[in-house]
This record gives sequence, structure tokens and C-alpha cells, in this order.
Amino acid sequence: MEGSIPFLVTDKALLIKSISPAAVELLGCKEVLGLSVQALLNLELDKVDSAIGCYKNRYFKLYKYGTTNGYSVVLQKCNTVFDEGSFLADAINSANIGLWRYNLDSKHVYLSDITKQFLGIEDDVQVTWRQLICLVHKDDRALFPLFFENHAQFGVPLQFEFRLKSAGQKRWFALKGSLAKRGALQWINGTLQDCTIEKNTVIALNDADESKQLAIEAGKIGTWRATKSGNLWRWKWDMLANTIFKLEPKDIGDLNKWVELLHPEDRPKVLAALDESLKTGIEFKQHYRSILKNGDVIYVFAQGRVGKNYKGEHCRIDGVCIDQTEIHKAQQALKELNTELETRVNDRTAELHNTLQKAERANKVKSEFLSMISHELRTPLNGIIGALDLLAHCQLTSESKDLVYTASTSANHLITILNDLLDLNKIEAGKLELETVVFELPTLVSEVVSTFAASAKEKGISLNIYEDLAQLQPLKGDENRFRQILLNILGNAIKFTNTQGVKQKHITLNAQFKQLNIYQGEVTISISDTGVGMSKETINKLFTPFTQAEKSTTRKFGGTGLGLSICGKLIDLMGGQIIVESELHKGSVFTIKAPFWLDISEREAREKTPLACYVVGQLSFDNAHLLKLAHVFYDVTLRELNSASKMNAMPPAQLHLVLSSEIDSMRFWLPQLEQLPNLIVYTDASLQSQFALSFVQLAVYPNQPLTAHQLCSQLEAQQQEQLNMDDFTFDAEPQDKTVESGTCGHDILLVEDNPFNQKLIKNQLEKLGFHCDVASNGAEGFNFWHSHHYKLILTDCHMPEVDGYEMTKQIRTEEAKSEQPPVPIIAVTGAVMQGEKDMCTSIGMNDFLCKPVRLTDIKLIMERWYEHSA
Amino acid sequence: MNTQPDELKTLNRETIIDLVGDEPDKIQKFHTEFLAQAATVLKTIVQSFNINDFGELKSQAHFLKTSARAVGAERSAYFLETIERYSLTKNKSAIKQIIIKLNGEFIAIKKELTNGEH
Repeated sequence: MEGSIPFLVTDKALLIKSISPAAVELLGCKEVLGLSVQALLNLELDKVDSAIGCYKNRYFKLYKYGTTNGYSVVLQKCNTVFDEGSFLADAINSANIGLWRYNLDSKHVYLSDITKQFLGIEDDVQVTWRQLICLVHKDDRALFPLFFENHAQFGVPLQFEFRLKSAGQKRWFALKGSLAKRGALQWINGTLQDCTIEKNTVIALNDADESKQLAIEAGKIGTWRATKSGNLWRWKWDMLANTIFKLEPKDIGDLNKWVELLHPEDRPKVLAALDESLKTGIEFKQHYRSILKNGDVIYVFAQGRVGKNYKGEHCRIDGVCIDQTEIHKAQQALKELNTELETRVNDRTAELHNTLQKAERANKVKSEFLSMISHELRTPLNGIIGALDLLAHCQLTSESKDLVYTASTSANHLITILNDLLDLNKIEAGKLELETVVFELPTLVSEVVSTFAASAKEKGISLNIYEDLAQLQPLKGDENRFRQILLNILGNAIKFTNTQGVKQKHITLNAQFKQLNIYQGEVTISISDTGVGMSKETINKLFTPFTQAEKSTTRKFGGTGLGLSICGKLIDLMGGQIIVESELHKGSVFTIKAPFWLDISEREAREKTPLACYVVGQLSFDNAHLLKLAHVFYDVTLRELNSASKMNAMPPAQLHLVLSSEIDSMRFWLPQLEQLPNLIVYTDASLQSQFALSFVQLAVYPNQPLTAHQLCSQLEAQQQEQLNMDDFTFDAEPQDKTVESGTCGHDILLVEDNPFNQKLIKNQLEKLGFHCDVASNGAEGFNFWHSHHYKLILTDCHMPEVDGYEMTKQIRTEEAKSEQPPVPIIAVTGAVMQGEKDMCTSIGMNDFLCKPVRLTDIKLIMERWYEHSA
Repeated sequence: MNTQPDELKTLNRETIIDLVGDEPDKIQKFHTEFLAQAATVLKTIVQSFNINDFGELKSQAHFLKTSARAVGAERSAYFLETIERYSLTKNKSAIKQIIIKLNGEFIAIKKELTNGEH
């Protein structure tokens, strides 16, 4: 056995003890000593003398011969595990079929390379039957003993499918096998095939079929079909369809049973449609009624599609039928309900139409009546107002004047209400036409602000005006109506800010102009207040006629509720809008936006007047705004004055403006500033009184509330040297007559030219129990003294004609001539300088009283000079 | 006058009480009397101003000043005294401003008296 014969020498347990060189060459490996021949070549050789094994995908036939210590095993190369030839092996490999063999006695398992590959086992690893079972999905493991035992014992075909995880994926395998016997030995040989795709397809199909079936059952949809056999159509339907028509199971497929149930009225059209579909292949789609055997009428919807065979002939129809009786009943009920509702709506609409017509007629009559009565009332009211105006200019007592004022205010209020009513009627009747006149926005704003400035001040409301007029141009539009809107909204702001609960009373008016295009511009005026504010619900009904914010509003604040309604309608007519923002107890903002035409007529550009402006100290916010306004209208030269600066010469200017809110800085610069002609000082409203009194010789104005128009007017007025008498006329009750001059034989003489002082001193004397004669000047006083005997003379010093000093001199001269005792003469003077006192004493006056004369002082004088007079 | 100008009152009601006692009817009569006199004298002052008669201007201011002091019209009295002073130097622009302020004071007194009555 030496030389070229490949052989192995083993012990009794078939463990390799030596290997011949030819065997090493044949197997291509020599590290085999100690290995089991059976394991190495994947075969069984312990009970047989020859077997075919496999090593590294090559097949070998082994022949076993016994020796003293074991066996000699001769190797012969062969092409396949089968001796029959290699074609079978190729076929099996190409079909990717795994092979296996299971020895029922030894439990030894043989697995081909493909089988090992399926199971994820390495080529040179030998597995036991138990290990093999463990690889299988746990739910399928029980199949193996069941099928293998039944096959071995009862010949039941060994054929089943199982799952296992291969390369991380779940896969399906089909196992087939059959029992083989050789002598006393029994094997089961078989194949293993990967059937994952087929199995998944079948599972998906089953799932889809089950799903469809469940859906059809849930929807109570019956299915029906017909196939063509020759010229005959064979019909079939499922149990659900049979149940819809309450047919017997044996009736399934008998078309006549179905036809018999069709409602006589529907039968012709249904059968014709079915016939048409079977002939032409068009879809069958019918709603029809059937009368069941128990007499019930059911409503059915049926639909079917026709199929063709390979020749293109219509050979089948498949469809569904649905019982819609319940839906039909519901629809019917709904239809009846709709009809009933429609009838009721029509009746109600007719009623409403009639009511509306009546209301419109009534409204028209009301409007006509209001219009007529307003006109009729206005005429006599104008007469009343005129008469009251004339009466107010007559000489009246204070009480009568009050009554005339009350009557006049009430009449004016009444005429305002009538005007509002007429406006509202006109607007509602579409008869109000807007005017188009050229106007200046600053003048309009100024008029509106001036109307309320005094009352705002009186009510403690700080009113601030900010105008942005840099781009302003003359406008064209209905100035009066725009003024009416602004007056109303600013008036409301004053009214609703002047309430007891409001602590911070501020109203701010912002005016802006924006050019929209070469023909149009937009004016935006926002009026914000810190008044009572409104809720959202109140805002929503704010512009409704005769509706005020709250029911209590009329009672608390007065008014008719017409104002904002008219404003809303007017702004609509003007193509603008009023935006209201408000918060209860915090205040409101009314923003009025109105478009106006630009006055594009040519006019000469007005040359700006030079204005020298001095800023003394820090520029306050409101003075900064004023300066901005001044720049719009004047050619401003600005000079800032502080403690470090010098009063350098400015370009010559007609007008001089000082902006300051620092009184000490003003005092510092006063000597230079008061030399400037036409000087006008603007300061913050809170400082205006202090400035006006401290710089009494200067014109001092508050910078708020101040409109651009007012600024220009004030600067212009400052240039006028003379005063206009009309500006210095205020009403006062007529003065009582002067105290009657003359003698009444009293022993005190009062010489005083000022009737007020005459009455005052006479009254004071009377209060002390004295009475006096009164002379109006020194000459009259001397005559009185000359013709009467007085115990005391009280005389003013400065009087026209003969003054107090002259009269005293004359009296003292006469007394000296006639040797009379000197009468006590008391000077009553407004001057209190020491020189004045010396003067009085030097000319013979005895004492003096300082005006105004207090009761205590006059009493002392009387005690001193009257009581002790001779 | 020791009081600072900005501390002066438009109408100090205590002054007239010191002169005639706390008799409201009598006081009201004197207030009315004063306003009537002020309305008349103010016209004269304006006339004098417009014709630059500073002597008459001073005289009228002095005339009304004593009445103003008597009723407690402190600011008015201060303005009238200042007119007297500026009349001596014939400072017309200063006098103009003071007359304007004086007019405002009389209106304020009238308003205060009217409000006080109601």
C-alpha cells in the first residue's frame, strides 16, 4: 500500500494515525492526524465497508479494510456523492436544493453544503439532530418529530414548511423526505428548498382575501358573478347576497328567483340594463326595488363589471349588491324635514319682508317728521338765541345775567341736538353732499384745539398737541365736516377724561400728513386720552345712532349718542376711517384717517421770515417740538445759551424766540435777552406761571397746548406795538355811584379821590361806630374844612387837582391866621417809604395810615387822635 | 414787597377780611366794585399806553393799585406797581407785556369769584 496508493491508517475508533503521501496530495492537506475519518469526510464508515464522503467540496469514495489495531482506509476520488454521475449533482446545485440524511438508529445527520448554507452552518462543522432542531423557529419545532415519526411509523408523507432565521432575516423552507432501508439500517433522505418568496406571496394573498371578505361582510355587501359557457350564462352569488333578498341557500345561482323578486315597475329597466352590459360590456349600475316574499320592499344598489377572455369576448361579469333600504328611509325622512323647514322659512321670510317694509315706511315717516320738526324748531330757536344774545348785552343785575346765561346755554344745546338730528337724517337719506374747499390743516387743528383748551385747563386736563407738518400742502375737501368730526372726538375725550375716578388726566392730539400721490394726501389725527376707557363690546356698538357706551353714560355724562354715529357716517362718506382702541379704566385712542385732494393750483412760495431762536439751558421735549414747528414756518437761526457761552451777535431778525425751562439760566441771561425786540419766551406748561411772574416784562407762553397756527399768530402779534382795545374788555357789573360827596354834619372828614377807597374807609369807620363826610380831592376837602368843624381829617396824598399835601398846607396856614387849634390830619397813603413819612410830618400832618388800611390800624388812629381831639 | 412774585396770589381772600371783617355780603360787594373799577381803569391804561402818555399811565396804575391791594388781588397789584415803575423809564415793550398779563389776571379774578359764588 506504499507509493501511489492514497490511504489512511486509523485505530478502531476510526481516528487517523497516519496518512500516505498520495493521500496528502489527493486531499490537499496533511494536518489530519488524530481527526475522525467520519468527521473529516462527513460520512459514516463505522458499520459499513465503503462510503462516499466530501472534503472541501470534493467527493471521495472510501474503502475500509481491517488491520490488527484498526483499519486501513483507501481513498478514491469521485465526482459526486452519487456514483451515478455528476449530472445529478449539477442539477441539484443549479436548483439550489439542499440535501440531507438522517440516520434513525444512530441519529447521525448528514447535511449537504447547500443545506448548511440555508441553515447558516459552516462547511466543516458537524451538527447533531438536536442542534439542527434548535435553529428552527420555536413555533415550528414541533413539526419535526411529528412528521418524522408519522412518516417512519405510518408512512405519512414527510412534507412540511418551517421558518428559521437566516442572515438576520426570517425565511421559509420546504422540507421533503422519504425513508430508505439497507439491511437493518434505516435513513430518511430528503431535500430542503428556500420557499420564502412563494410562502410570503401566499400569506399576502390570504391576508388580502380575508381583509376583502371581512370588509364585504362588515358592509353587508353581497357579491355576485356570472360566467359564460357557450351561449349560456352561469350565475352564482354569495350567502350575503342571498340574505339581502331572503332567498333559500338552494336558490343560489337561480337567476329567475332573483328576477321574480324585482319590483314590477323596476324589473324592465334592470333586466334591460343587465342584458345591455352582458352584450356590450358597459358597466352595470342600477338602483332598484325588490319585493321580498314576506312583502317587504327593499331598496338595492347593484353594480358590476364585465370581463373578457383572451379572444376579447365578454365572458364574465362580477359585481356587488348593497341593501340601501335604511339609507333610503333616512333620506326620505330628511327630505320631508327639509320640505317642512323650507315651508316654514318661506313663511317666516314673507313675515319678515312685510315687517321690514313696515319698518322702512315707519322710518321714512320718522325721518321726514324729524327733519320737518327740526327745521320748524330751529327757526324760533334762532330767534330765542338772538334775543338772549341782545339781552345779555343790556344792563342786567347779576341774577338776571345768570338766568340769561342759563337760557342761552340751553337754547344753544338744543340747537346742537337739532343740527345733529338733521345731519343724521340727511346722511341716512343719502342727501348729504360733501363740499370741496381749499383749507389749511394747521388752522383747522388750531380752531378745534382752541375750542377745548380753556375747558381742558379748567378741568385740570393736560392737553398736548404734536403736529408733523413738514410735508404739508394746502388741501381740498369738506373742512367743516372734518372739523365736526374732530370737535366731536376731542370733546368726548375731554368729557370722558374729566371724571372723578381718573387721576392722571392727559389728552394728546397727534396730527400727521402723508402725500399719497401727486393729487392726494392723507391726514391722520389720533386723539388719545387717559379717561374711563371702554370694553370691546362697547366699542362694537359705538357708532350706532342713539347708542352711548353704557346705559349709565347718558345719565352721567349727558349727550344724545348721535355724535359718534354722525362721525362714523361722515368719515365713511369721506372715504376715511376711524379706528378705536380702548381699554376699560385706562383710556382710549381714536385715530381718524381721511384722504383729501391736494390743492395743486399755482401760488407764490411764501418767503420764510427770519427768526432768531435762543435755547436757554437744556431743551425740553415740548420745546424741541416747538423748535421743529418753527423750522417749518420760519428761517430759524439757532443759538444755545448756557453758563459757558457768550451772547454773540446774531443775524438781524424781526422776531426773537427764547426756549427755556430753566428759570435760573433765564435770570442769568435776562439782561441781554430783554434788550431784544419782539422777544417771546416759551416754556413748559408747568413753569409758565412762574416764568410769567418772574419775568413780568417779557411775553411768556406755555409750549403746550400749542398748535402751529397759534405759534405763528403769537409771533405775529408780538410785532404789534399797539394794544387792541377789544382785547381788554371784560364784562363787569356796573360800578355803584361814588359815595355822595357833601356834608352831613359829621365831625370826621375823608378826602379821597378813589371811590373804592372812599367806600372802604367809610365802611371801616362805620364799623367802628364813626361817620364821616367825604371830599373827592384836596380843594373840596379844604372847602369842607372851611365851612364845618371837624375833629379829624383823613386824607389821601396823591389826588388830582389839589393833592393831600397842598390841602394840609392850606389848612395849617388858615388855622395859623385865625389862631384856631390845629385839626388832626392823618395821611392815608399807599407809599410807605421813609421819605413820604418825613414829607407828611414836615407839612403839618399828624400821623399816617398805610393802604390798605386795616381795621386795627384805623381803630388805633381813632383812639389816638379822635378821642383826644378838642 | 418781600414776597417772591411767584408766591403772589391772584386773589387772597384773607386780605379783605382783615379790612372789613368776615362779612361775605359786604366782601362780595367790594369784589364786584373792584372788578368794575378794574374794567374801567384798564381801558384808560390801554388808551394811555397807545398814545404813549406814560404820566397818565403811571397815575392810573397807582390809582387802581390801592384798590387791588385792598381786595387781595396780589398779582394785579404787583403788575400795577411794575407798570408804575416802567412808566418812569418809558419801557413800552415791558409795559405792553404787563398790561396783557394784568388783563389775564382780571379775567382770572372774575372766574375765581364766579366759581366761588357757585
